[in-house]
Amino acid sequence: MAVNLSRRGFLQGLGASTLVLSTPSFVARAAAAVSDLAGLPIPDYSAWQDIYQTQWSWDKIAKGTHLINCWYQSHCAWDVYVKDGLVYREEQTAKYPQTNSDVPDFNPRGCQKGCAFSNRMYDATRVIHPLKRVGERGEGKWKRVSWDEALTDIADRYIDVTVNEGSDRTIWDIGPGMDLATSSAAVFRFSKFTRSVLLDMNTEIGDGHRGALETLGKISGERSADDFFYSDLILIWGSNPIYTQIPNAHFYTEARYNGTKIITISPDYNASATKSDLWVPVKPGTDAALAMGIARWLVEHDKIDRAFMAEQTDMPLLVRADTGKFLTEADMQASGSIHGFYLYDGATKRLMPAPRKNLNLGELQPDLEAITTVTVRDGSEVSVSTVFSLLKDSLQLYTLAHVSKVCGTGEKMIELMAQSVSNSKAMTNITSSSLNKYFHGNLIERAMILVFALTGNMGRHGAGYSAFPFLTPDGFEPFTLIPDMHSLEQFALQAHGMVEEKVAEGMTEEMALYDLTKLVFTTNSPFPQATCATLFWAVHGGVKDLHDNNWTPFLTKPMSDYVLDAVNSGDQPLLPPVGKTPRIIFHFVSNSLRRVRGGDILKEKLWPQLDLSVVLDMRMNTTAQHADYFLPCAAWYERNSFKWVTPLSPFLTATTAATEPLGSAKPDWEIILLLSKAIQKRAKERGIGTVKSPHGEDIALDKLYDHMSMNGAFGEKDEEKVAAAILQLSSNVGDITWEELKETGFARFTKPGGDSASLGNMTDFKEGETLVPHTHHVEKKVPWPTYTRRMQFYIDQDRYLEMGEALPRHKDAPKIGGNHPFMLTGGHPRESIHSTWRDNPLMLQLTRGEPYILICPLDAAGKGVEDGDLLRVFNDVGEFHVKAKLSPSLQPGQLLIYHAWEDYQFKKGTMRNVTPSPINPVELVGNTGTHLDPRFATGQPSTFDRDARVDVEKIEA
Amino acid sequence: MAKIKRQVAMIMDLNKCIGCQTCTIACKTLWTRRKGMEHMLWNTVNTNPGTGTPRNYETMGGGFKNGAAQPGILPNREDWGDRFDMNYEEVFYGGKKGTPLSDRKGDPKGGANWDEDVGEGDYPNNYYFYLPRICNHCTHPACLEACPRKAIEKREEDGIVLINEKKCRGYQFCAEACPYKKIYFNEEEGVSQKCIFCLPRLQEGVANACARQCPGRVRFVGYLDDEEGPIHKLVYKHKVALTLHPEYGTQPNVFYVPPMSPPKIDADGNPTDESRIPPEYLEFLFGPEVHAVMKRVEAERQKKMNGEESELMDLLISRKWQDLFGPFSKSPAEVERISVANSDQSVSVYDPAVQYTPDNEIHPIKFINPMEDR
Repeated sequence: MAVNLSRRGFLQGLGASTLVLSTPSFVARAAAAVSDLAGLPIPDYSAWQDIYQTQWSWDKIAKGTHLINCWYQSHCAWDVYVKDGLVYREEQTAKYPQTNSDVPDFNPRGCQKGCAFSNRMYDATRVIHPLKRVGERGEGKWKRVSWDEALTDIADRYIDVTVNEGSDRTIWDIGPGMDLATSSAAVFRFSKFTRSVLLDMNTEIGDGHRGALETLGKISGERSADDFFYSDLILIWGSNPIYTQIPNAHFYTEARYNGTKIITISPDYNASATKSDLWVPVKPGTDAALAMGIARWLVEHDKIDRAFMAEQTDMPLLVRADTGKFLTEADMQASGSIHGFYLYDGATKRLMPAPRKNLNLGELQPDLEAITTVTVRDGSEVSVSTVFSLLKDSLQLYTLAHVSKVCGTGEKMIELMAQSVSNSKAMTNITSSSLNKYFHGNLIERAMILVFALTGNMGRHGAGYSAFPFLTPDGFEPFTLIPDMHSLEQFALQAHGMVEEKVAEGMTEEMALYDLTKLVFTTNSPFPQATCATLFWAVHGGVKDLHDNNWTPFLTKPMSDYVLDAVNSGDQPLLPPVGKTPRIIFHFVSNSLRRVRGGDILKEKLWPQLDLSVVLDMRMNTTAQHADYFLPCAAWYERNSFKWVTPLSPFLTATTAATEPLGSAKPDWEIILLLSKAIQKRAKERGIGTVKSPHGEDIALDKLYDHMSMNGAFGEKDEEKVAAAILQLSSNVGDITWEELKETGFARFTKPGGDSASLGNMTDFKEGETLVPHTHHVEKKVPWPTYTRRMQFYIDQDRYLEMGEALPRHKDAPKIGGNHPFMLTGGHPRESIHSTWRDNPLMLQLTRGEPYILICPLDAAGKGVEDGDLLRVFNDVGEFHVKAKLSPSLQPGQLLIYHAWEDYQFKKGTMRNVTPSPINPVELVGNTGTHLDPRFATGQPSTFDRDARVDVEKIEA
Repeated sequence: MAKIKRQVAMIMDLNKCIGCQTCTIACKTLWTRRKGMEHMLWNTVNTNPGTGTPRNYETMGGGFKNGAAQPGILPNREDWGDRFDMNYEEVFYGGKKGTPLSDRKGDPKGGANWDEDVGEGDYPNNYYFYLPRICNHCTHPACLEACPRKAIEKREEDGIVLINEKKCRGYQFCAEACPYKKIYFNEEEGVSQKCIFCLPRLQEGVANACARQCPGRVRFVGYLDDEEGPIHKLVYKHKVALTLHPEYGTQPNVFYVPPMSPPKIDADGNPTDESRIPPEYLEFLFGPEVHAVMKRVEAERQKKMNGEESELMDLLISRKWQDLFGPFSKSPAEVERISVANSDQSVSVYDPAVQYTPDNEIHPIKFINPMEDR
């Protein structure tokens, strides 16, 4: 033990050698002196407390929140305390109502990161004046410039590119900053009027939930967090909500006390496992085998909900043995629909068309195991069998012994989990985006949903599978898309008309809305212009150059050929087209150089081609370091807005300007409007009026500001007015006004609303009831938005048949990065949302101050590595250096690094150098006329970084 | 020992603590913002088993044994886990490409939460949980007895233990004597400082920041003698809340509901009947009564699983968040606390040696690079 001899060490020496705490002699002298003073008035020493009394004081309180992408739990309502014109600290508002007396209320919400924003907004990473690069990109040589100088220069260069090369050479990386409120209104309108390209980054960021899209026809659908209280079994599967869903976690720990059983399935004994009744370890990436094993057990023991399967899934639909495709109306009749399917009615022993308009079976009693022969249109006899009978065949492989071998999980453990599932009356999962970051994540998710479908656990209180939670004020879309407020009615009629047209063609309203969002990828549409971020970075960023190797055994041609074929054929639209180089990228509260998997390739291949890289953000970060301009955004407590949320906490939450923006920082809306103003001004001065896009669209550069501002109705200073307008236009937040919202800080959503992602919840929000997704499908029998109109487990598209993925199954992960012994898994950290708090002093103080990679002691010993040693982590693609942290939670062969460390936090390289994220060819399909085609936020290829292969070696620090 | 009229207490439910450190930050942004307080974390949350904060505090002595004061030693700055001093300006504006962000004092070798989520044991049977700690405001405080200047008092009205920073001369006997090592030293001000149980808040009927701001809803606050309140019921009626290291002899007034854990896994990868956290370890922390507590909690949970009622489970669930805080359920936003700068009221006389001014408070804004010369 360290004995501090410089501080009265002799006293400690005294203390150590005696059995009592002896008082030094000077104290005895002082005591004597005190008694001499007996009788004199004793001084009042209580004044020392005034320090603390006056510390806990403030001038005013404003409502605030953090408009960050913490996804599931966004956003929490905070009271922001202001003292001397600066934010002093924040404390949760904690005024949420209790939904009903069964369930815990939502209070207080808020986490340590929100609690530290008052620190973050003033720490050394904050940038408060516009900066212009004066050295080389990345050198860190900047000069402070005025807004006028910055925006004028940017405007000129923007005009040059737009006129000389094309409007689609200007790109907006809208990233996690996308709020679908004032910031998005500005940038989406900018794109609408200039045809500059927004990067649709949902699948690129890793939240694609491909398996949910394939099975449910959509990714949306989530319950409110208090609805977990109605579950008797909660599966934490591929999720670490104790880290990543902090404000909602109490619902599970409390549900546990209420008798709910919690099972965590994960490779490592993560923090969520510590709060569970059972932890099921699995080898990383093998979860599909586990799910299929449970499915097999359920089928074998007949613990399946046949009525649910017959009505809500494609299990009864008939598949042709000769082609492997569904038997369709087109097979049976002239001008029959390719989307008319058949089942075999057990009651009448006949082939019958499967219901289309509504899932109600009526008198039908589909035979789930039917195998029969039908005569098709050309007279030939074709053998057909149900999806369920095909599934049963494929399930034969997944015996307990086989699954145990694949997953490394004990047979009794698998069986116990299967029994728990079958005994449960209401089973739910805690949503997460972890498993879709594995290459075969789509198969994993399909297999998981299979377990829920077989047991009828969908669309009820406490029961259901959730993928992608989303809920947003639906006034955003009209505000963004209208030329001006006078056109609102016309817009509403037009939009309604477009939907009605598709409904008349046979789509459900939900399908119609999804179909409309495909228009963002087409040119000459009334929508803003978007393109798939994954493909953008792959093709234009050079990431696809990392993919041509032999990691993926199923390929019949190089990976990049799959990508280029998809893009060139138009299956997967891409802007700008192949061969046309992007020239300007605006990074709008989005850190692409930190985020995009593949590491430094972007800086090698794309950045040198860029004329201009502009970062709009609050703080210096990796992308900003390599930018040409930094435009400072106001911090969240310095502006007025809100952002989308999720049904998990169905409260629209406002942030308000507690203080003025620091320095010359400006609210997001103001910056974009001023940019438009500068463009309009410079266009006029340069004699440029309307120009054409490469696709023939008109771009009125000399009227851009007028259009953006709706002829001055919403000028640059009007961010608050925009927030109020969006709110007023919204149908799903009740009657609350912006003024009222600023007072209370939050308001409960009253319904999902008309936004396509929110509509996917397909439910009604009932007063006094927790929220349950998908009730419209399960209770009202509204068709699911797949081409079979059901939860679809059999996908008969050619690419799926080619890849052997018609049914869910397990596939070993390809050896991404080469034949190396470790699988590098990952996760989102506790102490930051993406990179937003990654280098904040308070958060660093509570971790190790720098990145670390987790390795189990056994593997560490094998490599001669001790805790804190510096490691070189490498594979065929790249390398980086990082400190080792030994953790007995990890399984041998598994490494884990939490994401979002800034590049400059590594001594050498960056963690993304070893995760090239090859594209999964099934995700490149398009022009199928099905729910698999690309549309906003889904139907596009994902990125993967949880199953790269690496090796490590110890190096000297 | 002081004659106390009432004693406030806190219960922390370790089945709900998720180690998020919101309590730590809540306390930090409220109280430990002055010069000399940078390293202070009056509230800590550590992964247990682990060294805790300060590092290895359980081996540093102090407290009482059979009523006799035990010698203790002081942790050093490294044991506490210092604040890192990162070179942001160099990285962002230094003009040298590829400068990594690092601690100017050298790569960190320790910190306040260094062994987060490590715990003990071998895969797949390792175990860990989170242990939040504050000053226990003990009934028999070793710190109070150790101070030769009687600079520490235990308030009659609520039992809160406070260091009078004006009387304190910085001897740190209190810090040596405290067996929980919850007393910090402020080198700028030359005094010892520690958790004040948010006294200014309690006086206004507002719960402690660490309790109120906890999103996990881990902490109950109330008077021990309030028979209707959850504190009394959990400690005396249901007997599921225990003190940490009762053998330290100071009679803490912070209690814990001990943590459950999933079962151990055998060599075939199948679950056993044994809980992961060894009973001996729980006994080391909470004393021999912990075994009965674990059984009691499990039995009551089983009642709920069978569809029966359980007062204990409902108390621990606490559906209404306000019920956690007893008489301290007010929101701070409802309290009038005008700051000194804007106040018309005169304040009490300050000791000039420890004067509150905006200057001696470290507002992080001072670190923003003004970019004047670049």
